[in-house]
Amino acid sequence: MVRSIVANYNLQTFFTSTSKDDPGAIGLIIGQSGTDKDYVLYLAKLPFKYDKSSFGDIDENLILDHAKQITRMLPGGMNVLGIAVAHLEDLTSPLHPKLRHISSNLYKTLDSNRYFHGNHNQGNIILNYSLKTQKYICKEYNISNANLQSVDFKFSPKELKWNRIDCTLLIDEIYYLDKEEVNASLEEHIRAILNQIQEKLNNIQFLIDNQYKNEDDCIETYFKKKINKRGSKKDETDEDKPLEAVALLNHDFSSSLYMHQVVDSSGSLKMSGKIVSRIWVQPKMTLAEVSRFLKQDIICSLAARCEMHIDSLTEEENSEANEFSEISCIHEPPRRVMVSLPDIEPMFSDYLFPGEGQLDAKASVEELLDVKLKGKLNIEDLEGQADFTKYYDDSAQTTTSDNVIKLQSESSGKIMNTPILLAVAVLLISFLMYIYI
Amino acid sequence: MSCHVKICGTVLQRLTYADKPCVGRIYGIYDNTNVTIIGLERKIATDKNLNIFASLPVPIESCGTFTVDNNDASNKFELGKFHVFCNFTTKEIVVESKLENKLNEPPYEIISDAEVFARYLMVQVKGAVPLRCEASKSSIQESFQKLKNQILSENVAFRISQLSIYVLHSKVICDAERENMTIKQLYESLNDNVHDEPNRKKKGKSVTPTILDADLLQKLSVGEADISLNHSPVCVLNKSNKKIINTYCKINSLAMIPFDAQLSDIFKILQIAILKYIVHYEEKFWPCFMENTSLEIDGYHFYPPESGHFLTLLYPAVKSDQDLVTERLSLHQLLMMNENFPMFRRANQFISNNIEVDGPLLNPHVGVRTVDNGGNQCLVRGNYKYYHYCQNGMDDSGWGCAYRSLQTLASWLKLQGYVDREVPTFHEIQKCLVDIKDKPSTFLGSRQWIGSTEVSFVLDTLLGITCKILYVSSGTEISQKGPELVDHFKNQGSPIMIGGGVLAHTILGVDYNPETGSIYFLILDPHYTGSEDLHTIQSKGWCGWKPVSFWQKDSYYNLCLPQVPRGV
Repeated sequence: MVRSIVANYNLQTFFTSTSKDDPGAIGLIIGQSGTDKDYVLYLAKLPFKYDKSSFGDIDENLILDHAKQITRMLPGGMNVLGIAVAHLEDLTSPLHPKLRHISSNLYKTLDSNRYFHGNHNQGNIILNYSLKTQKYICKEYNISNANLQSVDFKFSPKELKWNRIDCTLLIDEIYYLDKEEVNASLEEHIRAILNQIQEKLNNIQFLIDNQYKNEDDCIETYFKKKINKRGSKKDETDEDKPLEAVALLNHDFSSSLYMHQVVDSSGSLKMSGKIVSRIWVQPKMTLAEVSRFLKQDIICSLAARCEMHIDSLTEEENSEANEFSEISCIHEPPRRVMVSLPDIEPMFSDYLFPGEGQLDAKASVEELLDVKLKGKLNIEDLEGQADFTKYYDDSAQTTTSDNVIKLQSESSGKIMNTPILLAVAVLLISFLMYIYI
Repeated sequence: MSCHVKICGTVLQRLTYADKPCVGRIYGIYDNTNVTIIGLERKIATDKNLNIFASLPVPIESCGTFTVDNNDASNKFELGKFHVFCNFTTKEIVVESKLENKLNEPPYEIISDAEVFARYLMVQVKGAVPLRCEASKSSIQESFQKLKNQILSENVAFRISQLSIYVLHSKVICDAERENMTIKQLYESLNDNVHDEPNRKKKGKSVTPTILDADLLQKLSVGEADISLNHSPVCVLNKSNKKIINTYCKINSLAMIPFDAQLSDIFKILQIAILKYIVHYEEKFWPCFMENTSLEIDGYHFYPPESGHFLTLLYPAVKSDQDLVTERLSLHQLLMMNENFPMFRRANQFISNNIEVDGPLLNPHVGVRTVDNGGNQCLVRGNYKYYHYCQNGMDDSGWGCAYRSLQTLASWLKLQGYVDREVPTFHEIQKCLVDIKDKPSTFLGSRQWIGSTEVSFVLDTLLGITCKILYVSSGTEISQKGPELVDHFKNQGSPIMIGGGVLAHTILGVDYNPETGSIYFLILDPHYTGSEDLHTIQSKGWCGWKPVSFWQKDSYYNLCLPQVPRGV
């Protein structure tokens, strides 16, 4: 069966706004991949133009890096599906070597962190608009066998309908470190706890809108029932209402991590807090797919913020060597905020470090998604920042050392560390002495 | 206000077993001012911290006291509203109740445990909860407390797949058309579906209680507005050496849900059942922790016919059945149960009849049509599996019947906990007979018959069980063995293999009328070649009651009667 792709009707402007004389435009196709149909939500134009006469000179790394960053912003179930190009000619027959190259590297790049779930199950889409003939050519490039296949592409006659599903999850996880692990880098500790959380996620079942459904029922059945029940008038409001997903965990301890005896531990990494997850799905998506998307969203969001946090630390802090070895340490990765773009129903995520605000989010959204926003960016800051006094108390109780330091990554790269804390303390004492003496 | 008392026949039966005056507690289920007395616990001096109450399924509770042949009524109403007085010498039973400070002697009614269980749906909640903390007494206590709080919170939920429901704190999630049903209606509406299925394999009439499985779930999500943990995830890295426990409690709790209850009542009942289980678990956990042994503890459900109710016992994985023998003996004494037979070894655990397992059927005689002989029915004690021709892809039709009967006997010995060995295969049986030089080496792999003596050799050699051989010269002579067979089923309870000049069979019980001398045999026929279809097996007489004429007049028979060790 030929793969079928439908793009939101207003995305035509991406191509039609480029005239024959302009430099070519290239962008990333963002959307949702279903079993027999893909849905294109957005085309994110790359922030550079290229000379149409030399398509082969495009800097591929810029595209790959961009795709990676955008993937972090996408809600679960949305992926970079492929590449859109507005070009004079048809670049797909035969397939331009550059496009082939970008396609396969795009797959590899998005696959590099398994928790980002960057790839979908299908081949990469190449959507080519020929400025000469004003025609769309859409192909699917299969990475594994390097096959190029035609796909059925069309724009939707009206706005694509999305259903929103919300889930706010509480994480309270502890990972015990053994003697061998304790001196590894923070990055490795985080990877271990993420693995543990992933294992838990595998055992979660979602109950959506408090209705008992089968795994292969689709989301639209949640609304059909209500229409039958209440008559036809209230349908629209109902369909716009987000569905709430309740996460139910069926603990499974088959992992070898658990032992029925007292063991020695050399430390622990505890992760606790709340994750706000929101996904948008096509009405035809089944409950099983929705459940998979929610799980992807949660782990991706956790992995993304941890990666950003680690990137912001100095090497010394990440390795946790020497001077930090005997102390308890609090890490505060950036928090997730939801940002909405004009004319697009699904929201994107951004991550704000402590001290960052709406303006920082606006800047990164504008850059990555190629939008110009008038006025303030509409952000929803739902997770909130931690109150550290509580954690200082907890840590003080559980550690032999009273030295607790907080590693709060900030956009400026300023890090609080022991010498600075000490300096502040000395300053304070001398100030007090100055007053009282 | 009057009250109505029902007493389970098994309770009275056990009271009359008492060989000396005694006192104890009675357990039962209240339903407004009515009570059904289901269990008892004798007060004994050697009570080794055994807690019968903890082992009883919710909602059975302590409801009074009993005395047997003991007129000391000093602690009569200390424990509850009821008092059962049993005069042992005259076997007279008096029930007294104290309601609103008034003493009554309400009439009582004796009912069977089957009648009790007909009113309840048994639900077994399975799952696990983490137990991860510093290995200190205070930390573990705190963790158990947290666990209990969590179970009592709104963050616990259940899924009962066989009823297609999720049970949440606030509501029961099910198909809209089933929302207002009672549990009975819901159960029946789904059970009808089961009968509609074309595959009715293994389904048949059954009188043992049905247990449904429920999954214990932890709710991890909250409403967006919930402020209980109002910040994005933070990580605390702590590097200090500690002794920790990084384990979990396996939950396997049993609850009785009244069929006439509403769906909304399920949550509370299951929640209390889990809480009770964790309290019980904690009691068992401390000795394991103090002795620094494995912290693994498993819960087992038992339903010995003598007790008439379920009991859930928690055994540390590190303790073998042999290690637990004194604990079991006390249990038998507390419950006033026969101390000659094991009832609480792990192998004795209750096996739910709705579990579809591959392989031989369990207890196919349950539900067969009985005969009207006016005698005493004495049957095999406990579970066994039905081995017959052509199982596990092997065509032994025409020669393997005694082997199959032997396998049925071996399965019984295993399921009673007498042996810890798998049922021997044909190869193992033949090899054993060659090894003990009963047969030449050419016997191995052959299709030669074996008889009762060979069966007894194999049971002795491979399983360490000795057998008594009864010889009869003709089929009619078997009828004279009535008293002996009754005695066997009463005091041994093992199935009997019978062979001889002709075919081999398994005898599962006898119905012997001492006045008329008439006797019927409950036969399990190993010559059946079909699939594991209980309906066919029962209706076509592959398992059923047979008169003496079933045995051939002109043929001799040998009966092989496995003799079991006494004790619990």
